[in-house]
Amino acid sequence: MGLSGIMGKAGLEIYAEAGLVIFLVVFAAVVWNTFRKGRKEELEEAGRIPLDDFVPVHERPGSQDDDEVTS
Amino acid sequence: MSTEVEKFRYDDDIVRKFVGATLLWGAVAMLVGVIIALQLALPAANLDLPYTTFGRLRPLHTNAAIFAFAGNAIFAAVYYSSQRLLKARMFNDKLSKAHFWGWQGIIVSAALTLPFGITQSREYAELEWPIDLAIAVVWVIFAINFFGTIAKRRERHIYVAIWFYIATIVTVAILHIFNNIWIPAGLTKSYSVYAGVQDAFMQWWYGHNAVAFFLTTPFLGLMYYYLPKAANRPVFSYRLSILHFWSLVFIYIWAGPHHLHYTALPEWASTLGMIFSVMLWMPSWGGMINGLLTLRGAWNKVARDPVLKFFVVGITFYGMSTFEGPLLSIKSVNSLSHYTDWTIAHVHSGALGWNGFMTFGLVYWLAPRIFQTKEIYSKKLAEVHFWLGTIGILFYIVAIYAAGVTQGLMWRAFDESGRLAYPNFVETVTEIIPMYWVRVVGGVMYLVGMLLAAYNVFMTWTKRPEKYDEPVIEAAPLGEDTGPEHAPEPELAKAGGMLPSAYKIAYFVEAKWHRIWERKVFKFTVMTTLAVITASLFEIIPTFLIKSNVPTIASVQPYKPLELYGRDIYIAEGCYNCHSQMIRPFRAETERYGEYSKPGEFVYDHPFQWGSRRIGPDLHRIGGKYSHMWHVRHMKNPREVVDLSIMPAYPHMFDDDIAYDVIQPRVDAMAMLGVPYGEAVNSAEDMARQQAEQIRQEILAEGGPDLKDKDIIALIAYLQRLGTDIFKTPPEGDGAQEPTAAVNH
Repeated sequence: MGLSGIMGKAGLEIYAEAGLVIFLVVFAAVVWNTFRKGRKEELEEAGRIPLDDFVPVHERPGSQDDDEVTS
Repeated sequence: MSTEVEKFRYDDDIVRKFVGATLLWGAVAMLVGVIIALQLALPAANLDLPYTTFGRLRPLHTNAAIFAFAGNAIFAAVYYSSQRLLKARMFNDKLSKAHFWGWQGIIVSAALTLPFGITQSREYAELEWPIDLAIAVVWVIFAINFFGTIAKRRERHIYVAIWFYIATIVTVAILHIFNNIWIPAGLTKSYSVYAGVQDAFMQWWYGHNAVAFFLTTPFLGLMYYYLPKAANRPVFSYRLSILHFWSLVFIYIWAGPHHLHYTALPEWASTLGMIFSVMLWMPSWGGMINGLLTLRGAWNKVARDPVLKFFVVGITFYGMSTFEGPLLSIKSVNSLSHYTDWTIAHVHSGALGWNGFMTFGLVYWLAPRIFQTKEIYSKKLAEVHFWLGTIGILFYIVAIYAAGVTQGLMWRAFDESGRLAYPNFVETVTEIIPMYWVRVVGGVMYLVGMLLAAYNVFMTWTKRPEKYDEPVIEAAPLGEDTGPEHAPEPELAKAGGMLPSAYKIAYFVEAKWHRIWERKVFKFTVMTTLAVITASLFEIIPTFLIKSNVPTIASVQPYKPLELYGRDIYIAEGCYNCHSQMIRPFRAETERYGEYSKPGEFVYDHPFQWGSRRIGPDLHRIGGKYSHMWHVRHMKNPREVVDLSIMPAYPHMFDDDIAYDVIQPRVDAMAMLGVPYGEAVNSAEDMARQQAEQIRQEILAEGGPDLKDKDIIALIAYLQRLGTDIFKTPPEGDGAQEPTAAVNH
């Protein structure tokens, strides 16, 4: 029996269910990891990284505070 | 740990270049969009020129909007934010420049080929094989530069925006490579190695995920960096952003088959696509809510800051589009919406609202910073742009939603006697012409807003300093990683020691593996790639290997050489942009078009031509439906035979001669793909000439003009063959194909 024959008898009707279960397991693992109590402080700190990305040695002329630059 | 501080400068020159390109190509993309919108309302706008017909310009519009406008915006956003999030200058300035100029070269190549009918006809992947190779090279350059920057970063934690960028780079590479496997049949012509059902599956695996990983994930990365910057507050929940990322990466890739409901795609694949599409609701709305709640306590800023206005409306459109996408993937809804303008409205609420407005917010935020002017040239103009754009989108989508639902309902309507209520397709077109005009108005408003943005940024640029200041940044290099993987033992072990096996279990349970991924970019990238590839293979392998998915039909034979050439004309003219070749198994469709389409009918279709929109009727059973002369008159002037038709005229097909010399190489290329061409492998040109002469004589016999060796003859040969094989008697003996299988779907 060739590969296509084997695949034909593989019971593919369960693929949707299998995919769903795989997703749920991985999703549960990520949720667990992300929302564990011990990680709150660490991740809140990480969330502030964009606001801490401009540390010039010399201030830009006329721009003491980057947030003063507005549109 | 080292206390040494390193000094460096960011490269904003590359950001300035990409911002300029974004605005330039954005104007082009939207101008072409307005032109093709006008062509649907006013067919004369096709100008009767081969280079300006809807079928040729529509791919130019989509490619320009996606890869030129949104693409350059993505690169501008990535180059600016990555350097700051990673606290490092880009890995190599020359690679940055090569990326920029290479990408612009690709865009110019697209603009110079698509109007000439040089296309693969695969939606959003139309560009021919030499340009595909160039895209691969430029993408690798971008990837080396990006990952090189990560490698020399000075920030240990990789912020979530970078995760989204990584997913984009990895997945787009996978999609591009596997969707563009072809056999060249000349410098400007190739045939997909996939055929029929498999080709359709690969195309929409690519098409769907191009939306996911080119128009969604990079813009989410953009949102997670620029929205906090513009609002001057951290993202509402960083933890939610992590969930958002992993759920999208894991789910999105599975959802592609929802583009092919009720087609010849296997039922199981279609259902799988629907289930995962519905699941996408959760992460998408989680992301939208996370974005909007970032503005908690700062809504007063939104009222006076056009950047935040654009971001808020953009994110809201993200929520709308990602609500509607799963809705459209539900089979019963899809049976109404598919092939109608409903899909077009959905796409444009995402493209104009989400991608467009996030880009404009980005550009207005970046302009004063990269041009060092403190402020944008005119805040008032930006406000005008915002309102023009918003109202323009609403005009566009409301009209086109109405058009889509109207036409969908008309297609399936029956009268009291059980016959089609609107048997003449053109009736369902003329009904929505007023809505097409409203779309033109909305599109013009959006285009004017785009031009205002370009002017505003240009004027900001004119206010730049004589020489850009390049501030010196200082940051400590990364020392030895003392992160979780180096911890002597997990927290559970601290309580009282444990056996090695228990130690490993605790290591897993405490999910230190994920924390390592977050810090180790190689592992993180591998895991992201695995998520994408695993999901893809779950669907692709069975689709390709299971024989019962595509039952062979003995009477289905390869196209004759002239028909193949005619098919290439069909492809070059972009007929698939308006006509499907896929009759769904609904009574309303079989009544209108004939026997529904079977998977086995497309086994020699490299590439497939199922289409995704019916601006004109389905053509799968057009073969033999009309005389040759009907086609001659129709192609010369559609309104001569179908009053009120909005189809362009194709006078050039009556002037251009059949290029007999290219037919043999094309047949040879198809033979290389396994199409059983038999004697045609040695005599394709002669066979084509004979068939062309036969059709010429038949047209003359019908009282038509002498069209000796004209392109129109080849096109007619193809059209008259379409969908007819299934009704023929299978050839006997050596000519027979694989054993006949059941043709029921």
